[in-house]
Amino acid sequence: MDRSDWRRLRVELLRAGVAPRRVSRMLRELADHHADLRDAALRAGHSPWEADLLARCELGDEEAILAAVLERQELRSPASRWPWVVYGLAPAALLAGCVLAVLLLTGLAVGSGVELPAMARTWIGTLFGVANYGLPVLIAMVVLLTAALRHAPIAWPVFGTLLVIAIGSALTIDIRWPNAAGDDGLLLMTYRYGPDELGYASAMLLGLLGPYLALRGRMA
Amino acid sequence: MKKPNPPFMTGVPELLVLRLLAEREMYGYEIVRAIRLASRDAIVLAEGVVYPLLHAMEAKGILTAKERKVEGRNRVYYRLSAKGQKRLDALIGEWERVQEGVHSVLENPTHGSV
Repeated sequence: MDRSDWRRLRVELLRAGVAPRRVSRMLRELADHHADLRDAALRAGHSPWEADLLARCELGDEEAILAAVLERQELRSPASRWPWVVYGLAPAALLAGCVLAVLLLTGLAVGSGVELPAMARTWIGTLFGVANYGLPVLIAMVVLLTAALRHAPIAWPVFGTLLVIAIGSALTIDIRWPNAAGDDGLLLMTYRYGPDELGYASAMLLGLLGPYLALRGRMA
Repeated sequence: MKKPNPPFMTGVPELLVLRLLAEREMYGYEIVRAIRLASRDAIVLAEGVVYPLLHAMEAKGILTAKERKVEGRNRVYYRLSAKGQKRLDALIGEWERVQEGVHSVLENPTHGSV
């Protein structure tokens, strides 16, 4: 089998829903098996060309291997079995979970009554910035990249990304630290859509879906 | 080149693979060769399709796999798990029951006629 055959089989196995790590291992095993068959044919006195042909015949064609994979449900990855969960809902749930975790930890730190040093406050401020702006982009990027590498159908990754953008662009968490003047401080979570949020959402949409569609087109 | 076996062999490759791996760990090429050798070429698997079978059994926890570099090649050695041993016992029992039934029909096809 030449390189293009292996590449085609790889794409077909990924499209069949087999996890990339398993596909890579199976292809390595098949390539080694092909090499073993070829070596055996060479030892038996065949020419290199004949040895290649014999090895290929004995290994079987891509359709047979693909058919054997397709009839085994257990080889399908969770992302292929439940794409609506993995690509659709899990990213939004992860984003919501991370924001809640940041809020909870900050609330506990502030509520403990211990005065936090300036550096800790800076770190928490950075964490809030990441949760507000970086996290939605990062989660959506991971979802889209994973979907592209797995040759997953387009619908659920795009839905999941839209959901993350809808939450991430309008959700803001903020903190006002307690001070000596008797201000108890404030931990604030807001969800609103104004012109700024719509602009941010549009930028995210273009910045994420554009490269995803381009990558998808290149890998097709 | 020998042709792979017909459709009535469904389930037999799993039984044979498990039986071989009950003896010792092996990699795919070794398994296919061992089946041909032990069955005196009566059973010939389409060689490439043994991997989906091995991976499926691994996914079910029947086999465990370990990658090892041998003579410049990365071999994936498969080994029977405790669950695999139970599965093998069950398949042997089932196979013996079917074999007895088929043998009985072949020997005396009219025995059960009404």
